Amino acid sequence: MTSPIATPNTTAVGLADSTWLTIKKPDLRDWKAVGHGVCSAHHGEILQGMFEVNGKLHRALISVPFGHLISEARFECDENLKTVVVEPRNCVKAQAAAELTLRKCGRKHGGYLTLSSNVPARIGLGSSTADVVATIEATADRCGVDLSTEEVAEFAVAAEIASDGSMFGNRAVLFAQRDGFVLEYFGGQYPHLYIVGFNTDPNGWGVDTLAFPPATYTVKEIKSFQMLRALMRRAIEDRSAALLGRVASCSARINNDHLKKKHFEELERLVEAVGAVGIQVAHSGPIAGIIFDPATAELGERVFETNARVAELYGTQTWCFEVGGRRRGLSK
Amino acid sequence: MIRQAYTTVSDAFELPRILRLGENLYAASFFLMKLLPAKFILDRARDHSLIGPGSTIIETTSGTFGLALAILCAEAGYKLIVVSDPAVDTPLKTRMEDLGTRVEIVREPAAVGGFQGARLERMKQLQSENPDHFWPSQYDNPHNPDAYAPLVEIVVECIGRFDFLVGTVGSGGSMCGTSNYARTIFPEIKAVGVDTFGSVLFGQPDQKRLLRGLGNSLMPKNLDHTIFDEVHWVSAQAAFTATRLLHRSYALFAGATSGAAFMVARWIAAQNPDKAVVCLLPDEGYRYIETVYSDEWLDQNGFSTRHMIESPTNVEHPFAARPEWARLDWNRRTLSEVLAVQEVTM
Repeated sequence: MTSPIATPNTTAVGLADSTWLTIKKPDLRDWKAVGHGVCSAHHGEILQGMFEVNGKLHRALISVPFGHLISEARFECDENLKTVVVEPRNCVKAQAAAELTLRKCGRKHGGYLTLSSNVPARIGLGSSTADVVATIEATADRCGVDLSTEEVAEFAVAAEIASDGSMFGNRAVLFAQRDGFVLEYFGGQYPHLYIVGFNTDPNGWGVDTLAFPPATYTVKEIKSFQMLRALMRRAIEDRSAALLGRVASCSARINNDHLKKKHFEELERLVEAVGAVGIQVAHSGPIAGIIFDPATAELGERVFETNARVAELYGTQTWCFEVGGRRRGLSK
Repeated sequence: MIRQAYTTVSDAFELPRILRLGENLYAASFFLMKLLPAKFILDRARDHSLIGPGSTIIETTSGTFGLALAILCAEAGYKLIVVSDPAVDTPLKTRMEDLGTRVEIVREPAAVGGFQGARLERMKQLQSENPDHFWPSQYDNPHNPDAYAPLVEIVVECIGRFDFLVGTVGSGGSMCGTSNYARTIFPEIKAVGVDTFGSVLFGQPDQKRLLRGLGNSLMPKNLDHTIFDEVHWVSAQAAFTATRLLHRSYALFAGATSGAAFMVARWIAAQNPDKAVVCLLPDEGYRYIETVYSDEWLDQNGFSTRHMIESPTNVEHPFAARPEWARLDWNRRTLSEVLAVQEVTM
């Protein structure tokens, strides 16, 4: 382990009053014994579909950030290992991501990867992407390489074929989940949303993201996705929960023709009945969320009513979380 | 998003500019609205290998659909034959021919369906002479209404939610397509169709019409009556006046069909101050320089654009609609449901 202090790189910086100051330039390559990375889950999508860019079609999505659940990764190098040993051992996508990141960082050896996560798998919360992104960050961190979010995204897709946009956290982006790049940065923040989430198939087996074939959309559906993308721009610009809710509901409805959610029509009626602004679903799992504008009068009663109706439909409990805006717990 | 240089004129000119004309009144102002359906129809035909370089396209039209096809065919290298009638104006014919289109003019109207019928007959003849042709068939091709998603796209990006969509009806494509796409997002949007007296589209008996570019002597398959909440009939006199008002008030230089749509939208915006109204303005004013924009021509033809008609007369039955401006609460009914209502003699 080389100490950064011992490196000979020094740079002289001239100041106005001819005082000379010497700054040591540290060699970061082996600064840390352990690299750390963390990535939160997402709560399904606001928009998922197919989008045209310069005459080419790309599958892409806008994820709902869900910071309550996270994956954490620790990575240690071992010069004597050729591959990465992962714990828990079934995290093979993360293992592949660590090995890929090592090669990208110019390392020929392997190491030890330890993951801890509270993200449930197979229900559309992006558990594998959370693991993979935390792994890439931990590995790059150990190697002293500061990756951009775009590079993390590219590596993630290279490691697991299809990744969600979780690496972008609270930033609203349209992410091409199979190409590994951002089709559009919406700029600005998400409008303030209050979401009541639940599992529409609480006793089911969930979904293996790569096991079912991606939806084949019609030309009309692809045109509709372009409209929703345009409306998303307006929703972000105006910070409008109502418009964002419409984007989510329309996307959910189109995708429901390709991957059915149980009682979807009842959910659409529920949105109307409780005065919510929309419904969002996970397109690779049974998770769904009823979106409220937090400024709605009597929000508590509406959420209470939603809980009761969801319990009736699916025999399951809900959870609530907020996205964007000034959340409770943040001081003014 | 970063702006890119366009590679074709049809790409550059197919989308409208969105203008805010009043507190709650917006216009989608096109250079040439028909580029949208013409392009979508040809693109789908190309996708399904129905056409390729050197293909012959045959269509009957006396309006801007022909110009849109001429532009696209010139770009893609398709041969185009357009069957038209004496109503086709010289600027339009000149441009189409310069783009390499063969423009055939029928001289005599048919016994049933007038010039439109005669055009169809001549087109059928040409089609049998060119067995390998493609017929875009704007009146019946479902790809016509399906082409209007990009219009909704730009409108929702610029203004978000809106409540009324107002536009003229000829093939039914723009109003039915736009309403259907827009209602996938906002199902409560009201669709207001603008027709002219003597057009069969909303149940009036067929007659010679002075106002061109909207209305029809035949019923197109692309017209779905059940999307309309309101229907208005507008006279040439009223539309010309509104066209000039649009120019004088906003310097918005548009054609006579745009004037008709603007007139109705302006009234609806005034009636519903808390609702956002969007009207479709299908083309520019150049073709009308010698007519609608010429005071001399208006005088000679008995029109006066000095007084704007401020509100329509409400009717219960299409037969009761009389110039200059009539309005019917269509309420998303079929044509036969509307016609079945007992006509009230006034």
